[in-house]
Amino acid sequence: MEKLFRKIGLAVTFSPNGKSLIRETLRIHKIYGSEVAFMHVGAKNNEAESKLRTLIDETLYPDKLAYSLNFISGEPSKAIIKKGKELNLDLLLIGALEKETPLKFYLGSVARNIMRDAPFNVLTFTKPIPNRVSFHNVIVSISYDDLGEKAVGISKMIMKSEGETKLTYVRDFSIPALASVVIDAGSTQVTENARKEFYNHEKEKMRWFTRESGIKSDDVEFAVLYGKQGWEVLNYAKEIEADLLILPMKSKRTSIFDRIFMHDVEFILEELPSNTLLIKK
Amino acid sequence: MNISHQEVTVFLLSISVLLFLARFLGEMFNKIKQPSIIGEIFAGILLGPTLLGNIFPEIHAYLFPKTGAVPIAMEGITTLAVVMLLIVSGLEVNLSLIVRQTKTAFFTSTFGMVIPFILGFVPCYYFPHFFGIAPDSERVLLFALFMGTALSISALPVIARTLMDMNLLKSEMGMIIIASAIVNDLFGWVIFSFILGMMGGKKDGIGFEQQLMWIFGFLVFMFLILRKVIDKALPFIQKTFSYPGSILNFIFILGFLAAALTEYVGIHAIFGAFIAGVIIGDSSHLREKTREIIHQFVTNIFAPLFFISIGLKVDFVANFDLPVVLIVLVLAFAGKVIGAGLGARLGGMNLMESLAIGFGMNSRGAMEIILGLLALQAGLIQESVFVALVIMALLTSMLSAPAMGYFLNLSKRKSRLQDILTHKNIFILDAESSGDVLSTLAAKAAKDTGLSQEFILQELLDREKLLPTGIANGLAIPHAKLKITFPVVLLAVLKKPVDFKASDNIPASVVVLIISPGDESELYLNLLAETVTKLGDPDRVEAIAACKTTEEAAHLIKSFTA
Repeated sequence: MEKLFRKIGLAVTFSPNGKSLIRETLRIHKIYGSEVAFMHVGAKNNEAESKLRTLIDETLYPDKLAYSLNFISGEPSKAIIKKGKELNLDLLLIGALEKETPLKFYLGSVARNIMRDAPFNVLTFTKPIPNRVSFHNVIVSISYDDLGEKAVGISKMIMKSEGETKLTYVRDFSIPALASVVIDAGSTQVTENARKEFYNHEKEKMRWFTRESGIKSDDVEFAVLYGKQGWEVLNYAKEIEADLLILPMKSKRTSIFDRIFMHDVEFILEELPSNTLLIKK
Repeated sequence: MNISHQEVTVFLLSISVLLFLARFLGEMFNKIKQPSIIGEIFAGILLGPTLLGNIFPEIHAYLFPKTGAVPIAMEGITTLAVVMLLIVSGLEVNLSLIVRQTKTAFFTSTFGMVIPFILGFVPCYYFPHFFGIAPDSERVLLFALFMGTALSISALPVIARTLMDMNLLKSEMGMIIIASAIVNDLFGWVIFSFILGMMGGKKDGIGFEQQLMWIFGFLVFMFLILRKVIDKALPFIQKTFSYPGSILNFIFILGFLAAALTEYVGIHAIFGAFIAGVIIGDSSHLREKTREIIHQFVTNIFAPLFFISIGLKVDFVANFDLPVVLIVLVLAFAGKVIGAGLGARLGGMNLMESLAIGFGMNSRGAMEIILGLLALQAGLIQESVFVALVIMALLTSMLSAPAMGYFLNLSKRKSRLQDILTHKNIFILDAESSGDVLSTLAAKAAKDTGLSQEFILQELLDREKLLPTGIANGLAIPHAKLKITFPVVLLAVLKKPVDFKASDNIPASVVVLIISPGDESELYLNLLAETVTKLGDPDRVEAIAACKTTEEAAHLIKSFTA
């Protein structure tokens, strides 16, 4: 199997989900042959290192894995991102709550900050499980740019490697001010027809976009959703109970305004609908 | 004060006459692809002092008495209408679009607001007497501020309709114009409310700082607290109570309450109504259907009554002042076209596209008229200035689409299939194989792009290897992304169908070649998708394939892609 993720990292904690995350890391290592780097935020000493290595090795048992263990210090999200850059990670795995408390969300939790600011791909597990066989229900949010192309490429490889995976490409879009056109058209039929035409156009675009990456339409499903971008994908992922959402996300400096006047990916960061793979490079 | 049977009769009769004529003329203007508001205002001019009042003064006086309960009731209805129009206007303000607007939209909205504001403010501040305001009057500053605001506002519904008619609503340009118009509206109404508040404040003895505090407090409460509450409440209301009645009630109750609150504290009612509309419209839970129902409800009954009432109040002939009309027109056109156009140019659009955006943003329509009437009622402007603003609003709305079309035609970088796939790009070909077709089309594309035929052909053949480009029903769309600056689309009607390895095994009789700039993925996809959705239907492919001449094919394709 081609090395989709050449080097992966995991921020290890002693939390209840910590062991499941180590097993998820092992699974990805097995599929893609990735090099693995564990990170831990805390002071490095013999006792801490021994405790961590024991936790990791016991969790991996009966499997074995060659890994590096990196102790880092400072504000956790910044330290993890800095180390991830130094290690030249292709993918960082983290655990995250589906929903943060409002205050934490607005101020930014460790997981959310990493998701927003990391320059490498981030796989966030809301429900890590120790013995996952594969992702069964994967949805890919489509954006028509380089990251979108990468997301489609990655989804194609995931579909190949995961086996029995249902893959759905989703495009959510809206036309601002479309409803106000009825003012002059005088008929909802006009806007309804326009919306249908836009919908078909968008579906056709999505087919072409995936087709250009060599995806055959018969192997996958397509869903076009009309409504606020980000919010529609979020609800669709919840509705079909996806276990992995692949989402292209530009690493862009965001502010509290982006969280107050939520848009696009911020809807998803507010409430993670499933495990989420953020495609950043 | 009691209302008599006679007054009830006159009131209902006049409402019926107003609605009938407004609808009739509105529909007539719609038929000629012009905003219905123009017809509604004309209806007012016909029924008002300008025409009916002059020719049949008795009938005019009977239908629209100036004393008694009828004018009070009519005033109540127009106030209700304007508040409703502002709620509806607010619903279309997409806050997330403002937060994530692109560089081009940011420049377009900023320059499209600042330049018209300066062009409106400066002459009115330094030459107020020209507009009927004494230079030493304390109203000069407020009047100049108002004119700046009036010239910087845009009319979103008219703009949206124009863009939809031109097949541009979903395009990059359409999005830039809509996002910029939303920003202009938001700031325009906030500034205007503030001006009205300053006027009211002076009357009521409320200080400037106090006004500012009220506005700030109101905005913080509405945007940070009530917006979140509404977002949670909407799904509950939609699920628990009858739809759409309950949600319509909720929206109007909230809108009227906010309007009442702002009116009470000395800021104008429209401010509360508009902001209430904005925070309700921002909810992801507000269904598109609900928006449309509200639009229908307000714009079919209340908006016509409001717009027709304008003609009833003002004598357009007596108050027509040509120099004022001309100066307002010049300032309005120059401000928006230069401002928004310059912004678009700085944002990366080419000159012709920037001019098209400038004219697209120039539509003032209903918003300008509402603004003008409120200013007239508040004593901020003279009737002659109001008439000039109405004429400007109508002319800018009427000229927007033709001017945009003109400049888009001049632009080399076209994005709509209807503009790219013209007569000169359509051919009738006699070819033996797909290779022949690609080679011939590559030679023709080489002329347009300046690239070599061999290079284009190789790229097309490489793409064919990835997945065949035969679609279905006899249509094939070979395509490639190359280092060029504008897209090329060629269409060949094949005398003998040739195999393009389509999944339905039907050989292609119509081949559309698309070559697009390598760095414009979305344009490329748009052209591919538009070709399939507009030409891919089996009947359409068959009809094109049956064409014997390029003229015949071009005519048919034009009708399909328009």
